[in-house]
Amino acid sequence: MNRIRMLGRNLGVAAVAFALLGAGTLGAPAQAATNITITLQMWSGPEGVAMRPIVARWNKEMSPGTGITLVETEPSRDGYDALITSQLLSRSGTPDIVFPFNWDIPRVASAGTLVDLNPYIRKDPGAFKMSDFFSVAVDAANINGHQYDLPLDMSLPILYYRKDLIQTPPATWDDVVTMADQFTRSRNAKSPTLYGTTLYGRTGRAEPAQLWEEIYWPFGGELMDAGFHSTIANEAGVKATEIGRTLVAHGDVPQPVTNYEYPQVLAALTNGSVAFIQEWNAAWGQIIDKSQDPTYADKIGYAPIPGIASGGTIKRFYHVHTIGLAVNASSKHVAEAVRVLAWLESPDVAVEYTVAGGNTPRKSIFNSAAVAKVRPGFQSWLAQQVSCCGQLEPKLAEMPDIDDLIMNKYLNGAWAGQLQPMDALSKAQAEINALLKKDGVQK
Amino acid sequence: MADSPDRRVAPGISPRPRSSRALGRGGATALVYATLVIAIIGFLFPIVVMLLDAIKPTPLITQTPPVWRFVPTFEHLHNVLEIPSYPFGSYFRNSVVVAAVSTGITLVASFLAAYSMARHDTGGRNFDFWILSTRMLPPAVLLVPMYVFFNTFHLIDTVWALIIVYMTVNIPLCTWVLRSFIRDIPFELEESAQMDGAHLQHILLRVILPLTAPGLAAVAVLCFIACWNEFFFALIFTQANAVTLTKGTAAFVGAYETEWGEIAAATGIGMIPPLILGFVVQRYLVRGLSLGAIKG
Amino acid sequence: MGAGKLPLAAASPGTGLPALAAPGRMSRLWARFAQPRYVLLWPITFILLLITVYPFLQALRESFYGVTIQNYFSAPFVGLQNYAMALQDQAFWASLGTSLIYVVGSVSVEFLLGLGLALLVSRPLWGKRILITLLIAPMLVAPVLIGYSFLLQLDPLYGPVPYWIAQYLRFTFGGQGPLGPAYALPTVMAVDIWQWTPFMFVLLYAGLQTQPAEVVEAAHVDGAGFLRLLVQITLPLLRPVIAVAVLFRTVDAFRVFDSIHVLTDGGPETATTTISVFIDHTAFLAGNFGEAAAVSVLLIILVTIIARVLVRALFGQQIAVTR
Repeated sequence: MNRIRMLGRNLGVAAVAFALLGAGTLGAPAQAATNITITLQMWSGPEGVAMRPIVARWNKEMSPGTGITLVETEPSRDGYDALITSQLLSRSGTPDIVFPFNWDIPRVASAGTLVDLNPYIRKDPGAFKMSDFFSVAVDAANINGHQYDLPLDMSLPILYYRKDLIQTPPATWDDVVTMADQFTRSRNAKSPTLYGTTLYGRTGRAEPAQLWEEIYWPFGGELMDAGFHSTIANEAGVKATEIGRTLVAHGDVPQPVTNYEYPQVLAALTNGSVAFIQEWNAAWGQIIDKSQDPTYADKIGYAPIPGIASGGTIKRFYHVHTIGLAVNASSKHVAEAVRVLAWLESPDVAVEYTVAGGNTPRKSIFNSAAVAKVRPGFQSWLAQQVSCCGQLEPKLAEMPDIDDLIMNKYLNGAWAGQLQPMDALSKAQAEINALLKKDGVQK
Repeated sequence: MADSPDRRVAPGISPRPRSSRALGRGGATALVYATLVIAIIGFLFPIVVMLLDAIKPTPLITQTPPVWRFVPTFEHLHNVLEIPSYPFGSYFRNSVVVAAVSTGITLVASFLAAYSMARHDTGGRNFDFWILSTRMLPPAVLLVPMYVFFNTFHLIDTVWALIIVYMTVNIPLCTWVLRSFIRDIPFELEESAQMDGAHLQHILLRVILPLTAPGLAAVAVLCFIACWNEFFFALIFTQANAVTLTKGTAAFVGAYETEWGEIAAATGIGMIPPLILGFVVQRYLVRGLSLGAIKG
Repeated sequence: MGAGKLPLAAASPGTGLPALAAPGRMSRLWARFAQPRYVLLWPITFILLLITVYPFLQALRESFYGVTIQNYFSAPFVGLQNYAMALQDQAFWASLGTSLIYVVGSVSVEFLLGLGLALLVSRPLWGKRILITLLIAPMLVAPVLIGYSFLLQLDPLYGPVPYWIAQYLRFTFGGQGPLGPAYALPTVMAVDIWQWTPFMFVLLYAGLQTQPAEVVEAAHVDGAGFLRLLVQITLPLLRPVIAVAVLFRTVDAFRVFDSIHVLTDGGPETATTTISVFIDHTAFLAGNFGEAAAVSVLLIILVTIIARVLVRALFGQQIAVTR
């Protein structure tokens, strides 16, 4: 009896499964003859969420007239780069519009997988209004005169601090160390917070290098010279690296720094463990949201990133990168996808996106009243910071390798005290140069 | 000889273990239970912590020091089950279809092959290792070629892409395990059935299948779980229609914030089908379907 | 016990397959592979060939080209250069070493724990079904998802685990936390052990269920004690299942990616960069598909060698037996 039952069970499971499978495929939306579906792949996070009402708006307002239906997908941030890379390299035609980081663009564009938008922009400049964008944001995806994306979000690390505990936020990097010492309980028993600040050290990510740039550039350093030779092993580099090293050596940051990235860094501030952090501007929306941050929502303020005092002023630099909308070259509906992209990026649509949680770097948006209502003062202040002091990394296909692997490894090694700063930077420089030479980039 | 109520005690543990003479049978059993309870606590601890996060109010989840007394909230469960941007029902159904169909086909195909390999060593060692090798490659290098392959047959974002991929990983395990189990079945049984004029199908179904029940049960669970929990291929090969529960749940780790509570809730719910399967399938993980049934 | 002739193997008409006329080479081939014993192999062969041939060949081909993301469609042929580069890359050897530590450490502990649990649970116990269901709990959770939970649970700032270990065991992980430089590899291995001991347990327990009681009783009549029973009867009888369980867990341990990626992504620095993390970083961070493919091929060769050695050691003579 048991054997028959078991066989019956197996067959039953298979039958049910096939039935469900059949039902599943039947449920797939049928495509009307005149209807084109454009897939827009965002990612899971505030950007994805902010885009949902926009997609709904297109489908309601624009879809009947254009015959284009817009569908949004939001995969997780884990494996996101591998996902986009596989989709683009496989030339499969979907998604039509992707949402890449600007540092990934040089290499996928070199492979010919993205559409150059310049011809479309030249044909219809009114639809794109390029001059309204911050030039640094547009420049981020301009590779050798080809415009491969339009920026949808702009990211730069700024300073967030506990304004109930700190009167004047640190203005220079030396101030940062002093203040971090002050607010670390192991050094100052009266400190209201456990640690002064945090360090973004997560392996395999670009943040360690990018946040380090905001220390290195004000010291006068350049990442590369005109011939694409790495030039970081110098006094400026050493000084910049010493900041992080001192913070770690003094115990001013929670350990292990090699695990810290956005969620942990932000949580450290919003749960009261640290006094100030260097963190992406996108965090502001989350910080002032009382439902997510009930205790400290009104106790946290923002400030310009610290710099170096020079001749009576503070010289500061912001590392800027963008996440933009690009069109898949293998898409079956390139022209339609570009049209949708232009609409999404247009000022009166993107302002809605920004209000919902995005960060589209248009001057009109950052200074608009609608945005000022949800983030009073913040975006217009951000506009000033970007205009004066925003800087991009070199636009090379090798940048992910350089930042995620080489710089990450050596910065962490120097911060942890395993390597002397000059030693670490020299080794990093050598590896970067070897890589660029091998790829034939160096002149 | 007949004091233990169930004579079908596992080998390795004699009906009257020496230790019991010192501690008494009750003492030995108590020790066994104690050890098992410790093991279970160790295994369950991280899961229980995670499940508690599923009902903890969000700010408390990342609080230092950890908080255990709180008023539970159902908002995470609500977010997982109710909000339209996370189509839980669709994800769940996709996972069930993929895991069930893939496991079903794998079991049938592997069972047939295992029989042949057990009795005749068909294919020899080279075939064995070729099967094994399909389980060896890390997915990274396979992603793009596989994507191209599936795309050519229009299988991207359908359940079949995952069903097929998971079979390549599960067939080796099923085949090797079932072969071991079938080898242990004495050939006399088949011989006598053959004498009675039985066809191959009859022998496979009536004689071999029941005796391999524990092996089948074990690999059925392992294969189902492997399909249910797989992430990387599910991430890449599905987009909107065929997204599985694991991929959908991972999306709660957003670009900037991680919704710890929602991940915990979704993961907890996602544990239920494999749990049920594991519980149900144990009926076959029993010695009773062994020789005793046939000999009598 | 063991192999024997399939019923009806000799009489080809009885199998319902077409009788053969002219003995040409194709028909001889057909005659051979159409025998029932081979027909039973067709399903898995078809499935495996279908899905693996193209991607494997493609990956193999990629290993001979200098393929990067940027030149993906115009990559130059470089022969064995990718292999040479990999073999000269210190990071490659380091990741190999890390993998070996990971595999040997995890699999051995998983085996011992799994075996112990299987033996314990095989006793006459009440509530066995519940016990077993609870014991397989760690396997029921997706590695990637419990990995996120572990990230939280192991965090020195908000995680319960370091907090309680500090409170009750007075051990503070040198201030770094369980995922700090000195402890990351053991911690990641502990997670693996936690997750996959049930795998061993399930297979070994199933194996124990098929052991005949008569043998045990016969030995018991001879006055064998617990330990002798275990070593002389149980383990030898269990050997094939042990072999499969250890073999597969070993092969899998080289491939582990999801949980390491979430917990440390190979860090701190390269402390937990196993070979599969190395391959992923080489392919998607460095964008070097050619080298990643070469390393993957080397990995298959290595794991195959290890598998063959294991099979010989664990299976002994059994796998060669044919009758």
